Amino acid sequence: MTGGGENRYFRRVASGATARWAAHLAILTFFACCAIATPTPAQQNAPANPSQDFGHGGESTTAPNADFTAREHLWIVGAASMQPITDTIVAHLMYDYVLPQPMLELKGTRAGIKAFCAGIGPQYPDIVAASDRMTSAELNRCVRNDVLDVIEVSIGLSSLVVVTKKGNPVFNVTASMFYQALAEQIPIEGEFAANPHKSWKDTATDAPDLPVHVILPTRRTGTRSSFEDHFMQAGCRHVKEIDKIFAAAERVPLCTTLRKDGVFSEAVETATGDNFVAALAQSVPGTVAILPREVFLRVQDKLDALPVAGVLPTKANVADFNYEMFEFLRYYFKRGHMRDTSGHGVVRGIREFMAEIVKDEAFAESGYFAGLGVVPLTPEWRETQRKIVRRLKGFQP
Amino acid sequence: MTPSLRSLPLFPALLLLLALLQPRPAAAGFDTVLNTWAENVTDFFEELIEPLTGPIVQSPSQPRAPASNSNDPFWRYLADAGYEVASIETDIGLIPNVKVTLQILRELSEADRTALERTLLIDDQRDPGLIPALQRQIVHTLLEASQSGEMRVSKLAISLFPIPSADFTMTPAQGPFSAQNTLSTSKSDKRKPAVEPAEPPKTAPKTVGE
Repeated sequence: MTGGGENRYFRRVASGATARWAAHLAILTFFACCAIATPTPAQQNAPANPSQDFGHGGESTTAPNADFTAREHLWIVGAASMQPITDTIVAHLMYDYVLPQPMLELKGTRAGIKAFCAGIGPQYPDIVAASDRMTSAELNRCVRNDVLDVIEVSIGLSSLVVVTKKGNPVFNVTASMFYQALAEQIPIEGEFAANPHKSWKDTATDAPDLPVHVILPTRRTGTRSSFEDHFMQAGCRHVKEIDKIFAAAERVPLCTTLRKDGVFSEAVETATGDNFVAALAQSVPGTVAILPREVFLRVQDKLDALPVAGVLPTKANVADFNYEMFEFLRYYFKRGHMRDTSGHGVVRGIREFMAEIVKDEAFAESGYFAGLGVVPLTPEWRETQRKIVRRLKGFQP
Repeated sequence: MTPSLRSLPLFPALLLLLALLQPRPAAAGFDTVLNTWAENVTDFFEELIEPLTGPIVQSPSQPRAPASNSNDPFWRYLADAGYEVASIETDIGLIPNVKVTLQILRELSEADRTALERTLLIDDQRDPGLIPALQRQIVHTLLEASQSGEMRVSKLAISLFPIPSADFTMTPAQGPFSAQNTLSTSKSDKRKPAVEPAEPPKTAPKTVGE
């Protein structure tokens, strides 16, 4: 029996049909291995220099197992006011994954976006923490530098808060008052002239007769550019003489160019708000400053918030959009720096970071972002952000 | 083909028309849907045109607000998008028509566009009705069309009857046929500031924390 069985076995092995099947199977296995190992380009314009052959990451929304990355550390740039949020995300990431400590350079949204959009490769940042939206001009610069796939994920709402030292008069302000107080030239009797306003009373009849002085964050920060958009440009939007100007390139400088006669000063924005507290401590009544809400919450024992258009920046007012000066807090990710299916890419951890920020324990009502002063998004918007992360959907301004 | 045969294809259409027009209890559900839809469309047209023309059935005591001061969100969106009403054409006949033509007054800055998008976003949450959603969709389309770098929607014509439509006239953003040049030739140029830029800074802004 045994000998007959062995004979049948050898006859089957020796038969031509079985050999052909084995050969086919081997060829198929070979091609399958080749297909798995070959990365599919996610970006259309591959760089000419093969040594900088990055930008093929993120084909799959699941992280690859292999790791052949050009840099070990995640590199995060952007808004200083988002440092506590970013630190907390990083702490959670490092608890959940074996990741080296990311490099953080939080020196301003605009500066961060500029560095982010400079190119693809280990010498460029991977993530921007932004307190203001990337403009279409900035995205165009990204595209020119082969940063083709940028992913924007909103994590919640913040707002610009107008503050003054505790004990100083608190009065209602509007965008129009800031334009009237700070613009270098304003229309007077139909003609543009140097801004003569010295007192808040000059900018609105119901404002107190206190000298105008405003402390602003330095340029190249998201808070400063948000201030220019939400206060200066909004304040001059329905001014008759401004509305007559067709070209935006002519109109915007008239709205945003600030006086140079000492009516405003600048302070470096930090996550703690110390510089603003120090500057306001020596200020006279009428001096106000502009801070992001999450920074203000950390120093609210020393500062008072002023109502804007009659509305205070409470959590409920920001969440309902009743407070006009709200802003979305966002992270921008570079898909070209993610690892591809074979594990090649610039850095490990981008997708893990994205997954972390859209967890309910992070950005839902009871999430840890709320504890850091971020106003949560509505459930529908949170689901939209999750979809963006799942599908790695590109950002369109 | 004899005349009786030529009219043969019209019979099915006639039968369908009779079937639709004949009031029957079985068709009540369909009628309700149709009527609701018709009311919605009519409401949309009326809401669209009323701020400009005043109520179609005029009340003697009804004050008539000018279009530019309208509080209707749709016209406010269009004003914020940089458009103003250039003309209103009305045809009265078997099929009445109302056509509102808007022309571009100013191009939007990035901040203007973002502010309008934020307004639309907020109103999406606060006022999710069909008609406001349709109105916002027109403005969204206008904003998207205006984002094209080389072309600009210089004229927008909204026709209401018999089929509602929005016609976008796009012109080059730069050059002799641009909307800016057209406006410049038709209006006196008051765009330049009367006073030359201010003298060099007296004091540079003081920076704390550097």
